[in-house]
Amino acid sequence: MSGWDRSAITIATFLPVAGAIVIAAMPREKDRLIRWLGVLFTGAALVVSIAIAIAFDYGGRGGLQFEVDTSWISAIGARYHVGIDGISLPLYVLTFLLSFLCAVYTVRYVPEPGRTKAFLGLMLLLETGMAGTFIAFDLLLFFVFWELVLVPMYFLIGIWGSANREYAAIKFFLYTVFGSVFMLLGFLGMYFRSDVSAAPGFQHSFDIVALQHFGAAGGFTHGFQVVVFGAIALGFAVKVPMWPFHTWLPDAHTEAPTIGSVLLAGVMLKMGTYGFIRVALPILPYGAHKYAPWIGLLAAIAIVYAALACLAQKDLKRLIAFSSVGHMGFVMLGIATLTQIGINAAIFGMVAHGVITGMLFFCVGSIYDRYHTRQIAEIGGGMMQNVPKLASIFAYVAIASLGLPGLAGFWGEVMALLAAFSPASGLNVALFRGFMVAGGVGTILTAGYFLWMLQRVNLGVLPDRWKEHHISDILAVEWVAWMPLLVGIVLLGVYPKLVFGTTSEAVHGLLSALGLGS
Amino acid sequence: MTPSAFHLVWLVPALPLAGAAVNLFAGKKLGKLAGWLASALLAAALAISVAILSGMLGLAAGDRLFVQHLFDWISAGSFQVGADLRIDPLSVTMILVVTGVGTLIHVYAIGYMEHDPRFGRFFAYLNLFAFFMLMLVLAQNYLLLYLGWEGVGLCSYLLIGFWFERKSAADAAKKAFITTRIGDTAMMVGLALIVVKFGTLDFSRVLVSRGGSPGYYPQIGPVVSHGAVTAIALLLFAGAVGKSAQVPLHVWLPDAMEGPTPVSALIHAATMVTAGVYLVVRSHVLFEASGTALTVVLVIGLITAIYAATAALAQDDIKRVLAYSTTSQLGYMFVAAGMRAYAAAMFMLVAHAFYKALLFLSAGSVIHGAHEEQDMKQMGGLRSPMPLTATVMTIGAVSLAGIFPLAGFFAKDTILEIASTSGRTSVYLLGTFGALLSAVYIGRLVFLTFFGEARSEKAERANESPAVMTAPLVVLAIGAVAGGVLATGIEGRLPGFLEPVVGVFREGGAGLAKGALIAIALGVSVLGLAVTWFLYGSGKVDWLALRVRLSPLHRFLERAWYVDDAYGAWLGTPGKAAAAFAAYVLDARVIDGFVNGVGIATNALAAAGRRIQTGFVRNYALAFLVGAVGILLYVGLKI
Repeated sequence: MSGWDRSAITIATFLPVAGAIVIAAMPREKDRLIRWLGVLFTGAALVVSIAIAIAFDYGGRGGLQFEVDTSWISAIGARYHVGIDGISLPLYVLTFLLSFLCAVYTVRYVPEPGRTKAFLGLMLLLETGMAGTFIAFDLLLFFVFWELVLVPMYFLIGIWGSANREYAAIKFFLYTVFGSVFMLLGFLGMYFRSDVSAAPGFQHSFDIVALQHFGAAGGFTHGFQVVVFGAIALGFAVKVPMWPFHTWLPDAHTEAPTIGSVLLAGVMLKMGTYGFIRVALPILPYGAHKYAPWIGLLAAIAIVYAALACLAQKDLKRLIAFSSVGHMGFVMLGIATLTQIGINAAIFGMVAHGVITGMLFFCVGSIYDRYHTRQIAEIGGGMMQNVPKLASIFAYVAIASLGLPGLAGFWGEVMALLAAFSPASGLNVALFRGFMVAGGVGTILTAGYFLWMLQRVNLGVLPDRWKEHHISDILAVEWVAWMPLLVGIVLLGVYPKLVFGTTSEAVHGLLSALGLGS
Repeated sequence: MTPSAFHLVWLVPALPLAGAAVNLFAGKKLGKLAGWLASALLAAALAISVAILSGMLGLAAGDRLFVQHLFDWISAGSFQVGADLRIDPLSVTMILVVTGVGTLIHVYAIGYMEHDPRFGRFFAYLNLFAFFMLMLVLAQNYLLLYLGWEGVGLCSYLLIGFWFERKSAADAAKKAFITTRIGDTAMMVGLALIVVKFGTLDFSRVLVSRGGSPGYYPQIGPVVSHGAVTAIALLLFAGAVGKSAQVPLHVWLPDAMEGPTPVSALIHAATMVTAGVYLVVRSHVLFEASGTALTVVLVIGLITAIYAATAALAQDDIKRVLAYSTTSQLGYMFVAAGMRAYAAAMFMLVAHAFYKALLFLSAGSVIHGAHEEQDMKQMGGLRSPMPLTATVMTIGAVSLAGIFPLAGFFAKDTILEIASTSGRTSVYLLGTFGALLSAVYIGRLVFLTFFGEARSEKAERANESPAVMTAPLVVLAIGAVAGGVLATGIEGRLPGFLEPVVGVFREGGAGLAKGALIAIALGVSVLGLAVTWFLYGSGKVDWLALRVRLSPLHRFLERAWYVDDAYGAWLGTPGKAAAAFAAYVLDARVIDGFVNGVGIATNALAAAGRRIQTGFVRNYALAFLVGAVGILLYVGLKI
């Protein structure tokens, strides 16, 4: 194994931390330099992650690559076990891409009250936490990365947020910590019930791969699985967020600064759904089977409920936030089917949602920056006349989000519905078909709220009150920060193999281990 | 030996797509050229289509199938779909209509949209529409078809709402998209069911003929239960009902007339709305295997044909008359398909594309010439300022009314003849009644618009449209006259051409003799036109007074039986209430109320807890004593 293979993902994951340290050492007055350092470090990390994606062996039958497994906390047998497979890879690259674009955006936009140094430093910490979650194969390491995300995001919302930021930040923090506690208890339960010798001298293990083998071999009793799956599912469900644990999300999004929303929607929510696929399903297959109908039910409710809530929203950013709840509902529905198509759909849905909704939050941020309001009624329409380029991009992304074929949003939704039509054996087919119908109704309502939103924001005549304001159309920095996402939306839509080609083998391997590989 | 033109089929959709891209990003700089570029690219696609047709005609009937594999589109688990294009007589017929009529409408639009500030954008959308429509008809599997299907819906949305400054246009665009999406969602479920039952979406494996008629479909594939086939066919048909504006999802089409007139002609008359008919004809193997589904197609088509014709009788907006007429005519196509007369359905589709595009574009010419007036009450006497438009529109109207020997006559007569000779007497009678209504509404349109005296100042100042608009009209008029040669009756050329795909219509022998059927059909058309001449053209009847006297009936028809109003009241209002309930009661009060309640309760508990910590030793001692006694009691009782 070459040095590159051993160190690549570690370098990519911790480059942002190095960047944060460098930025912390800079004098505050060097504001421009600090911003460009942010671009430099996120860019370097992105380049490394792309090199990993290029070097990745796509025919590798779903095994771990770039794997490192060394001693970490030897007292309890926790190890620095990282690696990457077809399920991690798309999310891993997405993390670096979105972080880089956020850094580019920050070259121009630093939200009130400024303090670029702290802002970028926290963003870089956040990046490492998110990226680490997707490569950790040790539960304790996973948990550390998971929690590492929390603190920077708390401050990003609490300091750089809008009017009601403190309430939103605390709610976000407490809610997530509440979920994390159950998750940690679940992890500890699995540790103590495990009987594997992954590390010399230890009977128990935090190792995800070892626990998967142990779980797939029926190592955990059914009763244990039901209890522990419930605990860790709660932790993941808060993060996704699944209905009815979602109410922190609209508040957090509405108050967060633009790049906070982009990263929150674009990457952080996926940590929850990723957790289901990486940890909960393979280690506790019986629990997964028992909970699948309930997860499907909550997902179906989320889809319809979020769409209805979107129809009634008056705040543009809150509307997009609620739409995330619905889209993550499709992801969870895919997972709940426990089928290859469903889980592939879920991962595609995560990537697509990251690209699309990340972009939607960029748009809303730029609209707010120009209009200084997020109230749909105050914007009052006419953006198509006033700022046609921004309006066209907003319309394009919204239409991608409502799931038009040929654009990224389609595949995750349609394949999730397809999977719900014939869920894994042992699941109630009629029930899942009911979920499918609910999902179908959701797609109609989704078209409804997005088109209505576009009508109220983009179309119509520009209200008189905006006529004396000079409102500029898209700026150069926005073009640069957005172009990869705008291209990605159509690329993923036209050539979905970009993701499916990566995930397919890994998902197959994952489900085969559970005896669901048909 | 495959004709070389077949290998160019990918260019047919690619050319308009390139045009769309250029016009979207550089349309402003191109100025007037944008329109000519878009037209030229579609004309080039037409030329390739013609080359494909001529190559195909050189092949034996059994060899007229070619599939071009572009790339592997998707593979997730066992689910694989390729991006494949299919050439066979059916798809060639469709691409000829789309590129042929499409090119004419593009050229016309150069004149019609001349002064529009978003000229380049308009042609970008128009070309994008052509791309998706061509993908729809060239697709070799249902997923690619669905891509085109949704894509044309998007373009329809963008073009209906092209003049988005008007609220009515924005409303209509949204309504069209959402209404058709209801059908599309059902169709998607149908696709899922096909995947589950057949394991593929590829036509060559799904559309396997199970009956006697030899098709291109190899005799392999799984046997699917009757119930599943019926479900699949009906779900697909739900998509067709939305797209082709059939009852009960027809409500979007009349409103779609908010779009510029070339859009109405291209999308909402000649091509997109006929996609539903194409879908049924393409999937006829499934519909026949079901049988029940065919009956549903027939009944829905018949209801729509008559219902929409009655609504067309009472519209004052010239374009709304044509919109309801389109819905009605599409109903006839479904009637034909429902009787297994697929070639007749396709012939009507082709003929209708010509004469309805002609009628719409003529209406556009009238509106353009009469200074944006669309209300026929304000028109009258326009034949003298715009003689050419009046002539070609009358030709289109006469064709639609079904006068021999125009294309429309053969189209309608063939369908009614089949209804009669196959022993479906009630279909024949109702269809004939619908034909009478058609003659009446279209006669009314012509007489109100072109005859009598000018009834407004705008009509007095009207003038003829420029040549770039009238030239396409003349070409279409020739098509509307001569189109009949394609299919004189059941054994005509188009049915012969389509036979390898759809088979031959075999039922017959019942009903009236052919001569009697033709006489009745002609008689009905002439009667209809005569009635309208008496009412609207002769000047002997005060039709405005008549309308007041029949006010409730007139309102009923004008509001299209109040169906739209009922949807608004029964779906729109409760829907809004449900949304508000979800967002502001359930979410804000109940769910988030609970979350915040936990926070408040924790605070309260902490406050109460703080009060216990008084700091006085005597209080702690008392608590200690109470606790100790309690434990002792518990232990003692237990023992």
